[in-house]
Amino acid sequence: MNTKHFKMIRQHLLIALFLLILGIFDGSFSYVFQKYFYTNTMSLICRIMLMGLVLTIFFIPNERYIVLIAAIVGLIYDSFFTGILGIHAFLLGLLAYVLRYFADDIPHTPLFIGLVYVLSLAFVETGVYYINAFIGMTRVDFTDFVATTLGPTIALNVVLFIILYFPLSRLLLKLKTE
Amino acid sequence: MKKFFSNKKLIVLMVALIFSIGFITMSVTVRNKSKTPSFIQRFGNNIVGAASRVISMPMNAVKSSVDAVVNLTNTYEENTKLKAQLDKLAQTEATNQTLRSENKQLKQQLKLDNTLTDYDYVNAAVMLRSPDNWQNILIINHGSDEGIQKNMSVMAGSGLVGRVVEVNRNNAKVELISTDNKSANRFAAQINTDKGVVNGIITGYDKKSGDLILGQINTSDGVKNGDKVITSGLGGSTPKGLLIGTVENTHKDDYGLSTVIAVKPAANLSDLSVVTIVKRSMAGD
Repeated sequence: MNTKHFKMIRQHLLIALFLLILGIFDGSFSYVFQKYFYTNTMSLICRIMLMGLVLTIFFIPNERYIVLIAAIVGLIYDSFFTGILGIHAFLLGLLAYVLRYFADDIPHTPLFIGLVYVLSLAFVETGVYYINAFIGMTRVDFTDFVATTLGPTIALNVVLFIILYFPLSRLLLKLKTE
Repeated sequence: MKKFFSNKKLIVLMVALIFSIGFITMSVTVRNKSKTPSFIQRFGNNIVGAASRVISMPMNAVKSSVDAVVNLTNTYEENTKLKAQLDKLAQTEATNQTLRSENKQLKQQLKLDNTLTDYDYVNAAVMLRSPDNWQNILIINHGSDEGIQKNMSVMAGSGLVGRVVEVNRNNAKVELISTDNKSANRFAAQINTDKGVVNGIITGYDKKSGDLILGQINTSDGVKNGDKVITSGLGGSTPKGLLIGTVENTHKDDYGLSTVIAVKPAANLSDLSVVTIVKRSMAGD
């Protein structure tokens, strides 16, 4: 049907826009709290866009192009924030690809979605760290990385998840077209 | 699980991996060589930059009001400190003025056009900061529309904070001086001591102490704690005379082979909101 097709395209675009806005919000949040997030002993990294992606995979399962949307949004995020394309594009696309298979088997309750989010956050952060270490962007070794960045980042994002879970899931349900 | 590990999916995964490694390598090499990123990247960055102004404006308004409230609590002590500094400031300005006019006369006598110390500057506000902090990148709200170019130095407050690494039309990326990046464009610095000039390069940043490391120095004779470290203008991309910081101590590097100097940065690297981009007037070679 024409209108159905049009509605699906509208859903694709709205989800992409939603994820991008969350990405810009990440950057803005990191700037406003930079004094507290980027200290000598810890680095707290905001990953609200990743939270949006995980919630999208759970709450809008009829989105067939989520892998492509995740990869393209990751590419735009990379290009705008670091200038090195491909890091987030690959990791977010891979994450969407893997999560799509398991999303049906997991109950859609805050606790389970939260656990999936923590695991995907650990995966993405480690992936970003390894790729950056490989291209020479950073010389931090793995144990330092876990202690100063991974642990505090997961803590921060769990708190943000608890705060933002209900608003974001309501918003996603509104964006979903049947 | 059999469905998950089918051949077709593995092939797709391999292709995606190869593509992304290709992307990463291409963007790292292109970015180190060219003046601006490729057209598609610039186009995307311009659009996202325009959109991000909309989002970052309310956040920055919240930040400045919170900062104002926090500042209110220690206003009295700050006031007494600032009053003491003001007394010295008037004298420094007067001396500065006389030195400038003397310098200008001497340059005219020698018929020099522009030297290492001439520069213009542009002010910009920080819009966003890159969330993953591996490269310490800030996004500022001016780009080639204000004449900013790649490799210009960026100062905040009184000290040097970094270099411009990428320029789009209405935004630009600044890489801070505290970055760990092996291929970063480092600053050449010097210290004027009684025994002569010590030249070196800011080679890194010590996260634990918050000091910059001035390495590859020719000598460490005559360097005292508290000496000012400024950019030397050598190398062609930075004007001379920008303040980097003050000497904190002198010690041997990690391998014990050479001496390095720890420099306390003059700018507060963890709280940047307005920056000044310095355009060098003399053409570098």
